Amino acid sequence: MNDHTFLRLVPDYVLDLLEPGELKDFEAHLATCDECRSEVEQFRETMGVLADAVPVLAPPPGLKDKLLARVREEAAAKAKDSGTAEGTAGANGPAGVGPESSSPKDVTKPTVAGPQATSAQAAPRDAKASAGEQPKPEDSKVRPIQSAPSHNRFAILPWLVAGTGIAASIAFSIGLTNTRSELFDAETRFQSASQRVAALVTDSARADSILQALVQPGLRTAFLSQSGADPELHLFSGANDSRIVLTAFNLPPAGPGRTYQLWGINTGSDPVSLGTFSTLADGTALSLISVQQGATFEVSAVTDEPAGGSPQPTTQPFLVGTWSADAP
Amino acid sequence: MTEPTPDTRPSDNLLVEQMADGDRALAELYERYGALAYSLARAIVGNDADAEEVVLDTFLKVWRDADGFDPDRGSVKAWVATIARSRALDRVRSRKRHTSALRRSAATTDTGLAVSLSTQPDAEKNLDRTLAREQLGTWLGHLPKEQKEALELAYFRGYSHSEIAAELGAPLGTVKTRIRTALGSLRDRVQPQLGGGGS
Repeated sequence: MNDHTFLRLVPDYVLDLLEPGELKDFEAHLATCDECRSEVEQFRETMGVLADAVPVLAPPPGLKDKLLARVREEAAAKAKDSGTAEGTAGANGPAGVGPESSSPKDVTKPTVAGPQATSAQAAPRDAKASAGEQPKPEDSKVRPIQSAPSHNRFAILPWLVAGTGIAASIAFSIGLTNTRSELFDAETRFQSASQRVAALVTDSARADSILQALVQPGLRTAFLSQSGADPELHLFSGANDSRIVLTAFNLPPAGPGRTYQLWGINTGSDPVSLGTFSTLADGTALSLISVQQGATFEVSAVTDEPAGGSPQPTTQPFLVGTWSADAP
Repeated sequence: MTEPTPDTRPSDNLLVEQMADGDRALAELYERYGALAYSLARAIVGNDADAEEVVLDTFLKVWRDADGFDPDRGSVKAWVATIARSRALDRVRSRKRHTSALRRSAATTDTGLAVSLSTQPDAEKNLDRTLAREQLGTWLGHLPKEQKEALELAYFRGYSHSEIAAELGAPLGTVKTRIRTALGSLRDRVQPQLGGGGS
């Protein structure tokens, strides 16, 4: 390819449209061509502006707090980990907390085609980072579990059921104090379901939240299904927890202006709304539902309700299941 | 590295530099670009829950990688948008790998992603956007329909050239030309507004 050809490929590059061979050649050229680098920078800025074209939506109010909480968790875990783990000398990222926070920055700012080229070449198309992503310190640093490259994060749940060693590591990262045996008991209880849950979890941060709810003693479960047919709904909740993990399979999205609503029912009492949920086009759902701490129900049910939910069920439940405490 | 700005607020670049000093800088950066990342993610993944996770992922990556950010290679805004887009597309692809439903119809409308690129005049205006959305809308409006469609499929769906060609029923070479021309046209209009020299 001549220089003119490379210049023509800049839009393809920033849109991640180059095939692996083209990408390799392009990035090799990029390292030596100021004109193409300048073009790449300009097209990246254009991509940033293009993001303005989507209708603006305000993020949920609690999202910022959730972000900051995760950062603090990770910083604390990193600080803790740095005291025992091997190979953390290069992991002193921008934690800002812990013993490394005052140390000099240890990551050399990458050149234009440095780590970017390496990561893009090494990863398959569907997992590679965008060519427009600037720094790649995650490729050059040794990182604890929570900082694993994002395209591997969905694999955390299968790891949990695969070995207690990994389970113990995850427990450490999410700050649980469960003993190893308790973890083993917990993983056994939800092993079959977790394999399906794993397919729904796509990043470590979310997996941590789910795991916190799932990996605990006294886990209560309810499986809701129609007799002998799809769809099905699985509920998990700790004995004294304020969360319910909901997984759904083969449940088509509710119709226009409708939503699914989950109910908790005890004998002699009106159903209690546990919240609404929706499913994806493929019929799956994975939700973390907040409930009153310690609240227990004999039965749960799902109804089809108007968007926003109803104070009491307005339709017949189409999924019903009984809560049970799984034997350890 | 960081030039003083007329604005009394710290510059984006300074915030990235200060990322190691605690979470104040990250919080401020989120205030500036959280909505951008969320809106973009929502347009790509098609649901609130995944969009939230994409935003968390995006800013966690910004926080982790702040040391490696080089302002000479682009703006913080472009960096955030690029990460958000990449993470959102990863999420969609991950879903596709795990399910048999390859189409996320919920993320689109009957007219496809054209809606995503049709800027809405009543959108929030409290963001410190470099360009007026109306102006961007005008520019996008000037793109031929077939160019805009191809660009939308590449940008919002992360489709490959061949996937776009199949989707649009157009020859591969034509699709490549449409995308390059569309993004090039936008670049030519955007760059002068950003103070760049253009090509």
